[in-house]
Amino acid sequence: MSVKELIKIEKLKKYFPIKSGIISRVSNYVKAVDGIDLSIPEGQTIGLVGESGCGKTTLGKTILKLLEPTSGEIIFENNNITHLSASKMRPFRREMQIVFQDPYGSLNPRMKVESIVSEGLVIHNILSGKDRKDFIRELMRTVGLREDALSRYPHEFSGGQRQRIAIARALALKPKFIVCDEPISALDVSVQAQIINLFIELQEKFKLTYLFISHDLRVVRHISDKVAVMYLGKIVEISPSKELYKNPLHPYTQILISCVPIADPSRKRVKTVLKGDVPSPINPPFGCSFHPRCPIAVEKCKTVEPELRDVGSDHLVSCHLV
Amino acid sequence: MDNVLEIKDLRISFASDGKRVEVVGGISINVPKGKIIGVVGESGCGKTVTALSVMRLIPEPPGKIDSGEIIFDGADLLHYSDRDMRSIRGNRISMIFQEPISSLNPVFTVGNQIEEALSTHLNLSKQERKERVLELLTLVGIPAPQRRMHNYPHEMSGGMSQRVMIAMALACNPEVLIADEPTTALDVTIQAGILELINDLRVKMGMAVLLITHDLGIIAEVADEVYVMYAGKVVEHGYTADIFREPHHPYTVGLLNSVPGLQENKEMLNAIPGVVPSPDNFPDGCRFQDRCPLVIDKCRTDEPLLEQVGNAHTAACWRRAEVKKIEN
Ligand SMILES: Nc1ncnc2c1ncn2[C@@H]1O[C@H](COP(=O)(O)OP(=O)(O)OP(=O)(O)O)[C@@H](O)[C@H]1O
Ligand SMILES: Nc1ncnc2c1ncn2[C@@H]1O[C@H](COP(=O)(O)OP(=O)(O)OP(=O)(O)O)[C@@H](O)[C@H]1O
Ligand code: SF4
Ligand code: SF4
Ligand SMILES: [Mg+2]
Ligand SMILES: [Mg+2]
Repeated sequence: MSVKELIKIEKLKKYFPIKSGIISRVSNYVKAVDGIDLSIPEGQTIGLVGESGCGKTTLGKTILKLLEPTSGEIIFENNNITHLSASKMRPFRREMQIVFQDPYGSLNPRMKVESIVSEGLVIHNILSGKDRKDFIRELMRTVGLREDALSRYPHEFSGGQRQRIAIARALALKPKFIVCDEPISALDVSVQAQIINLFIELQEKFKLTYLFISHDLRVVRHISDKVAVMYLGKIVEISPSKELYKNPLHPYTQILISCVPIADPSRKRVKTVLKGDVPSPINPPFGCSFHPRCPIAVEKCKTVEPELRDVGSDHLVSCHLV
Repeated sequence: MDNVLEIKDLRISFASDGKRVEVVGGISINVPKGKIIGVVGESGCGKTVTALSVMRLIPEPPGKIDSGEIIFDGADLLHYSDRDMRSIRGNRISMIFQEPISSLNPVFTVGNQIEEALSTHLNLSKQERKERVLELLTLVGIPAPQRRMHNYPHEMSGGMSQRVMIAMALACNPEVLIADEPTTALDVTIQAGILELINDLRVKMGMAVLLITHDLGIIAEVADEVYVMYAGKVVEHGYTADIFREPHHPYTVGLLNSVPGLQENKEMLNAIPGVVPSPDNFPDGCRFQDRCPLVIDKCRTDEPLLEQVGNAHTAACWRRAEVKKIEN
């Protein structure tokens, strides 16, 4: 089995400086992404889950170089794009897009849908006149909107329709890779299902590769080939989705899965409620950063950081007790 | 019959472009003592507006309660004076609002805000109020409450602000708690804690809860009964187990089918096609007609009303007996 890796990141870090004092000296760092290795095969989806603030959005934006990485490497189709200048980055920009969580805030309210969707084509000088118009019309049909939507403004659409507009905009440049940052969290259940289906359909049609961010494990399971669980800037477990849900190994993953509400009243589950608050990414705990909340922590966890190891079946986990 | 709260044939409209648009079209909901009653439905179907009307917090104008009754403790809240209503709101009936952070006052510490809620309704000494604040913060699971009570809202995470909101809502031991999407914005781990808390409190204090959410998973876990709303109407009602086992309205079936579970692998979900009609453009007959797999001509002209389909189970659909046939 030889699958081509579209994206490969190595030891990627993104630290945000915290400034303090009158001369704004950098006093410390928020370690939002703290040394992540990940590769995404072409045409596949990696799901990324974890608590609010664990660094999911930062990771997505850093891979796309919307944020400058602090260190590490980003390889896109065998090109190292980590240190490319803005102008050298331009041809790659077309290939990598992002769809954001908030379908209300991410579309310019003063632009008609046609301008929103064709903006990228204009910037990159792709197609013109009738060809561009035809292409945009076709795109609207692809994402399940009517052509007459083009002459309207975002506020005239429902949340689900706006998310379709955002997806059409992302697709306009025929990207290979899309970061989907909680693209359905703000939508109704029935609309969520429509949009997930659209993502799956588009992936099959255009061989798209996704990094799909969500805090809803049900959704991620549905769309992902592999799922990565993130905690305080690090990946603590990653495996093919089926394996992860059947056999979660990291205590944090086990807790996350036990907390998902299941739409079946006849199933009474034992939930483990996570104690304590998310610790600060500024001064993460020593040793295993999950130890203050871990129900099975031992002495070693307070001092020695566990490494992400392969435990077989393409399943990697970082915990001393696995 | 021991309902603490009865909403009867409630109609609510809003003024829009010079005409009145009815957004809640005659709904009835009973909340028995000590039970958790779930309300589900698509965005815009009228859940929040219904909840606000119980608190008498509909902005008037543009809003207006056109008709109906809200019976609490034997009397109709809609006939209460503003002053009498103030003694009930936040005291005997309280509400957790949909957006936690924006409902807390940014310039007061959370401790002050809970104290304020207490002093409005209860006659306690300063010392007693302090103790009650600590007790409440501990109850909702805020770590180090002694220190945390001196925090401002922006110094707390979303989950913690939501807990503070719950503490405030519970300050006066309400008989009815209205929780409008209390956990939608939160992580699953925090969500699980808050639902457990709400459930505990109803057991300990006999409080009734009207729980509004669009997450059927949450309903399945904590609600005793469910009301399914669609476009300003209740389309199905029954015990939670019955609704999930044998739904009798095509919309309920569609909702249940579109929830992703933890079992499936990468595959299409069964989405309900189309979109909800907007309140100024509701069709004649059944409001679900354009999205319904079972639609017949009659549905386009005659409005189906809630009819009995089982023990304490009602559905508003002309083809309610055939709903089982919908494939999933
Ligand atoms: N521009 C920034 N400057 C400073 N700190 C930042 C910045 N952006 C993010 N952070 C911090 O980095 C950490 C990770 O944030 P990020 O937005 O990536 O989390 P997330 O996992 O996407 O959370 P959510 O689920 O809430 O969207 C947080 O502690 C956040 O406060
Ligand atoms: N202040 C207002 N002015 C005009 N219309 C309003 C106002 N508040 C609500 N509405 C309308 O009333 C209808 C019901 O809104 P409501 O907020 O109750 O929906 P909801 O079921 O709570 O939705 P969601 O799940 O999105 O919270 C909507 O069509 C909405 O546009
Ligand atoms: S290494 Fe220790 S603290 Fe970390 S998850 Fe494993 S058992 Fe828990
Ligand atoms: S009344 Fe008709 S359109 Fe409405 S839900 Fe029933 S079958 Fe469908
Ligand atoms: Mg994020
Ligand atoms: Mg609402």
